[in-house]
Amino acid sequence: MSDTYSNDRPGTWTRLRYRLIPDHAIGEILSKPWIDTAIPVLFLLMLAGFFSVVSPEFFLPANLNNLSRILGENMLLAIGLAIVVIGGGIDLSVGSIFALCNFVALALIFHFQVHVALVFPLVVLCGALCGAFNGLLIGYLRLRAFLSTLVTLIIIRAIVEILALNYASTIMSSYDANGWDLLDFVADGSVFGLPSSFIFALIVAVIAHIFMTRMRMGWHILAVGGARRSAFNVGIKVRFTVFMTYVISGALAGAAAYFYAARLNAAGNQTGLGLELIVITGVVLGGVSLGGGRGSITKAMIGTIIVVSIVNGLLRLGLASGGSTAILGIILLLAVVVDIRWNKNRLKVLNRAYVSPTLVEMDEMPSIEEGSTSPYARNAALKDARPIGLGVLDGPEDMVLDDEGNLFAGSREGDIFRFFGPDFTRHELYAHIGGRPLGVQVDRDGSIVVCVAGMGLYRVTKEREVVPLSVRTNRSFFSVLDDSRVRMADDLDIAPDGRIFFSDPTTRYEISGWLTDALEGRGNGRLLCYDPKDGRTKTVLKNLVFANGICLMNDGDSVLVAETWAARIRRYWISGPKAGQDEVFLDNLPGYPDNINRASDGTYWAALVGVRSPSFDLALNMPKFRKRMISRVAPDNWIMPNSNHGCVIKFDDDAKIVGSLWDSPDGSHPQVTSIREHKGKLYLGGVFNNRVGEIDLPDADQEWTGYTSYWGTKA
Amino acid sequence: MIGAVTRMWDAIRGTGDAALTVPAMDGAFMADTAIETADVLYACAEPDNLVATSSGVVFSTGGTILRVEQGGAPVVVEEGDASVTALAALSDGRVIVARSGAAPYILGEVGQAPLFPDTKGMTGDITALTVLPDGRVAATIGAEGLAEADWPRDFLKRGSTGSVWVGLPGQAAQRVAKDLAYPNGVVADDDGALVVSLAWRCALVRVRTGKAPETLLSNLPGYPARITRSASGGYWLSLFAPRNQFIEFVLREPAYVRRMIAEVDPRYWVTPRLSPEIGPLDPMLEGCTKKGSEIKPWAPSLSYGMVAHLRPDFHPDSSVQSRANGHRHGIRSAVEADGTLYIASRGGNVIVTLPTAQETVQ
Repeated sequence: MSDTYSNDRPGTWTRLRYRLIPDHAIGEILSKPWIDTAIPVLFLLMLAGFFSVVSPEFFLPANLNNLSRILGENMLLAIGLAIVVIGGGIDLSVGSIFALCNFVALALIFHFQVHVALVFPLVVLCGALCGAFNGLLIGYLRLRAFLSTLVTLIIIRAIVEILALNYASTIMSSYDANGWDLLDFVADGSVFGLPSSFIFALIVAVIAHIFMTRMRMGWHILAVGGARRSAFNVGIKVRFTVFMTYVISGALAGAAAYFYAARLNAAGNQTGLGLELIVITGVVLGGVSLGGGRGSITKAMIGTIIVVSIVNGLLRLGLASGGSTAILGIILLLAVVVDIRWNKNRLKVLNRAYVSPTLVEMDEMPSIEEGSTSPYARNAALKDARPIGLGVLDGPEDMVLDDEGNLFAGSREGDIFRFFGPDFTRHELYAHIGGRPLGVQVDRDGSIVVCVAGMGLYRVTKEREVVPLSVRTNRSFFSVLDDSRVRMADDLDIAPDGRIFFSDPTTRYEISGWLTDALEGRGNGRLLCYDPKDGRTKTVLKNLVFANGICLMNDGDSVLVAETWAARIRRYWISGPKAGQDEVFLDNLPGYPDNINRASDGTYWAALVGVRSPSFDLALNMPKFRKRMISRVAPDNWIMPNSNHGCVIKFDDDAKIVGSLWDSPDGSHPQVTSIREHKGKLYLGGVFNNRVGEIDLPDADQEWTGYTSYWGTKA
Repeated sequence: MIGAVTRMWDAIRGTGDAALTVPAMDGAFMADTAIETADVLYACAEPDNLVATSSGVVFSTGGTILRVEQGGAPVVVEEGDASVTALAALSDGRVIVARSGAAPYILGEVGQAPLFPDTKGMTGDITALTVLPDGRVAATIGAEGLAEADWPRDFLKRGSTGSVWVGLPGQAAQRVAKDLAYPNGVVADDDGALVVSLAWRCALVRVRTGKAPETLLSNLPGYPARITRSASGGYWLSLFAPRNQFIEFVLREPAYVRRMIAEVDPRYWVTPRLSPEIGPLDPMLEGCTKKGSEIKPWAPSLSYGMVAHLRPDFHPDSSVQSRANGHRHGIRSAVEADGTLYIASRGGNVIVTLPTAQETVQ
């Protein structure tokens, strides 16, 4: 037993492993929107590797040039089809439209002797008209996309065959074109070594990408494909949007046919046969979801490159053409299966992979036993707290009193309420911010500076104007997540020079996931500094374990930062000879420190939001246990810091614990997240509570206020 | 071999023995607050072992045995140091007493007489006693060599060393079943066969000499304790704690359990609990966080109060409860006498009564 037991404890290797391997990056990479594209890209690289071994001549310039010429045409088709698919439809008729446009182009160039430059818009128009026919059927008559385009495929193919049978020899009798040089360029020319059609396809791709991601119409297409009914309900012209996707697809098929016609000059009825298979396979393989609403132009392009390379490579390998079609079919099947499974399960996979607990080693916690000599000994000092704002407030995480003795407290719905002193029975809605207000502080001019989760640092002026101060900081170089956004501004304090130091507890979770961050135990948090001189925000301390409460120390040269899940408080010098340095100020607290504030006797109050429990401390030491728990147990049943026992501790400048105030087990302040002393009274806030509490401090200075402690008496 | 493969497959898929699902409290176990709102008969420390005798209802608190007096304070029957772990009543009104660490005895007018003269092999505290229609006495031992108060240790080990013993008073007892997962209650069914509740298996089994136990009821949403007869022909089954996904998970984490047993004070272990109080050092699950200063009734608590009514064929048809925000948790015994259901909440330190007419089978 003793041997197996000692194996359960983390050894040097485990410590090293958790220090060196950034597990959390996996989930962060998975949460990136481009991850859907990464899989086909990986596939493409593997494919390239495969061909370089099996068929080295694949990469010869001649083949690549030929390949990119075909690619250019296919890409144009794929872009059009991708737009249709993203809009929730399907276009099977692209091959037929392509063939018709090819015929039209040849007829215009060689038979009617129209100038080659003028042929292009005419061919595109021809394709667009075919697409418009699809669009009418599907968008306005609301027929099934699959059946309608199948019908169009057959009809247009029939037209092409009739035309080819009767007129192919007629139009191809002459090889004289109006604008021969241009035709030559379109057919065989290249820019910077890249074929003209490929260059054109790239330009169209860039425009299409901007169209889909930056323009109103593109967004409408995404919306219609994602949720047709909702799109209709928000006022999008669904029928017109659907119609337009087919017009775009048809027009691009026309453009592709123009290049094809110029390149091959072949009016045969075999043109574009089976092309829709290649293009659809490419689009789906790239990760454009057949269900609509998900996908991008980039994905369609990558998929098309893969498929065209495979078809070309298989031809080079000498596979019979039936064989390569079969392989294409198999790839399409795989792509569809992966598409469906991935879309169904990606959030599940992400949720499991995202939370990544790390090894945390807590020291044995100090005693909190009632009646013991420990400074943390439990008592019931908060039992008789008088309620303020009962029935008004929902989750006042923090509150502050201004120089006139009014109390300001945030509430969950995004409001800041003002309670009029000294009895706080009257209240008014002071300002509506919208986000979740957390820490509040009063500035020299009496304005309220507030940390708003999900939004940033805001100021509410005396005129009740809400002004954003800081919503972003510098992006760190090695972070996978974009950490430039202030994710969950939590608490702040204002330095004598006006700089505002505030905490961002975790860059990995929104406020709804703040307890999940406790299960990770990693230093995901940071201390930020907003400088009013240039309006910029800088990250001054990183890797803090849930950076929470901030308090300017009495010396004015340093701030205290609570690291909640590490049960410690850190000191950071903001000015003076040690500016920029930091050290652990208070370690191994019996609970999880939240906000810190000054006390009237020159000491500090800190609220403990929860108490450490031995079973949770043990779980912190076993990261794999927590990882398995997260993936297998419902969140409601996760073991968590015990936040049902409120406590306030008091300590001095020498980090000596002076005392503690506890709530009774059935009291009304089960978790205390903030405290403020004001004129001999102590005010208590709680992030899950429905009130602010008030208790008397008979031994305290009855005239002391936080405002004068920071800013002196009002000038 | 096949078993090992199955276990590996289960571990990957989270099925079979690796499944952490717990039965929903639905149907017969639909949430109510009948116990929470019931009348208090006595407030006393950790009441347990309710037994109906011919001279009234008897129960114990700690080492003291008391008798319910209608309209007054309970009368002390016997006092002792070792805690009482099980009681039963003989038809002549005498009480059989089992105390922790001692052999069971019959409490008569003049003194104590050993129940079984020879208790060789019967190591471990008796968790339940009952008198069969033919006059024999059945006793269950929760786990071999285990003191009753130490049940969390056996629970975490997923122990399966319990046994059932039967014998006439004054004669040798026979072991009729062994290797059971903590037998915690025993009753004779209509045919006189023994039905035993297995706490760690959340099941009821019928035990017959020489035969494998036959499962009558399984997949209970809580850990069963005593079974007693109801006047309507069915049974009352006390469930002393709810099942919980996190606890099921911990049971399948041997390394965590080993370290918890070695490093953590037993008071703060992750186990089912009798007391509703979540102290500052107790394990707490996220759903139990107080919002607006209160625990929600649907919170995933580690304690609960429930007495289920079973039909004569041992299928549950209704239940009375005290939910997660209630206080009358940890009910190990309930007994019906004269149209009243007496419920002893060991975790809530009260005995409450419910009129049975409204609670019996609809």
